[in-house]
Amino acid sequence: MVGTFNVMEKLYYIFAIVLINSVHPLQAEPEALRDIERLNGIALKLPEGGWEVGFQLRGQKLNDEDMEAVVRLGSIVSLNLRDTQITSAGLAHLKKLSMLRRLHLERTKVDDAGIGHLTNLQKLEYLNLYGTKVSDEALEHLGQLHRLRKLYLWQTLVTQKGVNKLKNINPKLDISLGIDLTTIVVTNQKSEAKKKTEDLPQLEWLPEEGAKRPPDRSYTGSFIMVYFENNRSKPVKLYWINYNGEQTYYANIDAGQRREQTSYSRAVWLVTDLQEKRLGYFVTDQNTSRAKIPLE
Amino acid sequence: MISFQHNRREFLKSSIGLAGLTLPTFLKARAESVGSRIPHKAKSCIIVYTWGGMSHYESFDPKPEAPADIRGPFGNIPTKTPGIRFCEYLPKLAHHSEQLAIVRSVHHKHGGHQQGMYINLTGKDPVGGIKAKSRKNWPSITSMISRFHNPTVGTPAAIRMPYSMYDNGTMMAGEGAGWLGSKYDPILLRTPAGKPYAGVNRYNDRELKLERNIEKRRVTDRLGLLDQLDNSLSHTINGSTPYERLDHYGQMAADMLLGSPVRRAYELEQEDPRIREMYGDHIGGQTLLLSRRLVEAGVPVVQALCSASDLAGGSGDNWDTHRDHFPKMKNRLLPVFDKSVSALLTDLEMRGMLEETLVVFLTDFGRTPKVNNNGGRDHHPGVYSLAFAGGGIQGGLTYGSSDRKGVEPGSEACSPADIHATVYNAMGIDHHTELYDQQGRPFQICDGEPLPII
Repeated sequence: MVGTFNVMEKLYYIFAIVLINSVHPLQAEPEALRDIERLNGIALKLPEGGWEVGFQLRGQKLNDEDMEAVVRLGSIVSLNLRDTQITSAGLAHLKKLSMLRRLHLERTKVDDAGIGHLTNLQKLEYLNLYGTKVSDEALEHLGQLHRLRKLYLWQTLVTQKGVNKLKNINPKLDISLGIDLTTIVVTNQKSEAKKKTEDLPQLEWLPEEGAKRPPDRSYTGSFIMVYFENNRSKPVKLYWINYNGEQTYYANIDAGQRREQTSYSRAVWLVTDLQEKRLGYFVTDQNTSRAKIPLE
Repeated sequence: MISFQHNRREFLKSSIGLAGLTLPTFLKARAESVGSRIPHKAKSCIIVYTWGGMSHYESFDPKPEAPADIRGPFGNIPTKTPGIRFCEYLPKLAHHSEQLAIVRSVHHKHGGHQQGMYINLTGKDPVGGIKAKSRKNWPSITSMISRFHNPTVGTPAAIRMPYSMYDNGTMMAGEGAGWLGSKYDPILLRTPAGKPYAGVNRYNDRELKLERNIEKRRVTDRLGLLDQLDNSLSHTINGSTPYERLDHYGQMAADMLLGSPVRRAYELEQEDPRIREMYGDHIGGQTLLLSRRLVEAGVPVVQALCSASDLAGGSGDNWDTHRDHFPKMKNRLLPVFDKSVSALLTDLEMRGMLEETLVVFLTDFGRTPKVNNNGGRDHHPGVYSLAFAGGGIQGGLTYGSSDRKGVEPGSEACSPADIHATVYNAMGIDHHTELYDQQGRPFQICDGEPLPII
């Protein structure tokens, strides 16, 4: 069976080579394409000419030695080596790719030592080095790439000083240093919200049977939040009394639960039990507030 | 189990080699060179859909010159681009204006959510009784892009998140592949993290839950199909298995059963917590983060719904703000949108992915000039704003304008079909391409013309 597979594979490749030859007469290309296929790369013939080759998805095992085979496809204009095993040593092969305009080296083990190999790539317009160990030293070499227009350096050792120096040499170069992740503080948003709520002013509870009555309808005002808290032992229903004095249902709030509610100031909120019996009201003011529904 | 997985992997690999049934490098290369492809920069597309109809006034097209009852209480702020101003509650996005092409003159004639959503997602007027999952529907733009962008084997061609669009309990038509066939139906993924939207979220349609493995019935379907193919391998060499069937199910099976970059992308806990923080601890933000991870993993097109699934009269956190429009926009909707979309653009840019990833902002329609008695704005398809970023789109510009009050287009009126033609061109798809439906009838994929922003 194994032998049959091999024969069939050979037939397939012959078929594929014939097919490619009908499009591209260059004899060297089919062999190089076959190697790229073997290395789980993808090669796309670009409508504008040349090849786009990528190993970033299924070809991540690509290593320095494999590069020799890859660069036999001399007409590569775009090469994506993201997440592969390439190191600085592997970049020595790239000098054969004189048509190369885009090069992805992000998240590889490439460092300063490898960048010197790129100075022959005089057509290079795009270089992605994010997530590598390159430093300002590498930028010295990149100053020689006069056509370079986009350079990605997020999560590298490059400093702003190095960037400024390179920008002076190549003012047309757009350099992306990305954001500094150390400036982002991961907050425990739930505890923050709770703390904030506890500091808020409280709205007065107007019980249904009480002497103080709410307005018979809501009025438009400014925009606030109300944090309802149901301290009863049973669920309640929350209604907004709209501008016409009608009840508009919003939500149920379970016993012991809270609800974050957008509101206007001067709004009337009605709380009932699940049988629609009116329990009491809150009338909002200008402030974002707590609204504590008391124990029965 | 390991040997089973290995068997399947080997099977897929060998079936590709033996029968030539999928498009490996050589054949794919040829297809790319002779098909209806045009030079383009975008390789992937993220569609951010604000379900319910995002107000143009309180986003990309504030109207400070309009009367107070139309312009509303919100102010506007300058962006990084001189002359372009956004609503004051999009301060982060204002820093990204140089990456954005804002279209302020889109319009159509459909005031209902189903119709508005259908024309924005398919580029076609809803004709007849459209209904969810019908194969008579026009394919969604997400499906259509996936028709032209084959991912590597083992990666789904299109994903949508975090759930389907509903209006008052009815699932909407227009998110599926319609007459393109089930092969191009985007796979529905639920975002596994983030604070949920308020309001009703319906999860009762078929979906994938990667954290719990996939839906049992679908696993069984695929296993059955693969076993069948495995047993009849010699027959498949003779071409008795339809190409499409193997290719589709082969991809799906490889992705979902054998593990893949997509499965790893789904594991949001693998992401740097500071990046997760940047997007926001909200299902909207985490959905956009997941979109980036999926695109990075090779998924060609992702549709991210940026609001609650069931509008239910605008009761939840969705853009259908018939009531309490301003507090909802200020406190709930715009902060999530501003933070997560800005994070997406920042993240794509610093990874060097933005110029190859087209980000498209779509919605049903705009909102009415007049504020109603409930403090809301109602549906307004007369004019509204959409936006593009990345993927070779020119940033720092606006295309078209609305009139002084934001009621109708003031200049360079355009249609959802024109938006689609723009997307197709950016993705290297000739919008004049003809495809055949399942009855063999030819259809041009798009009636519009691309906007001059590429």
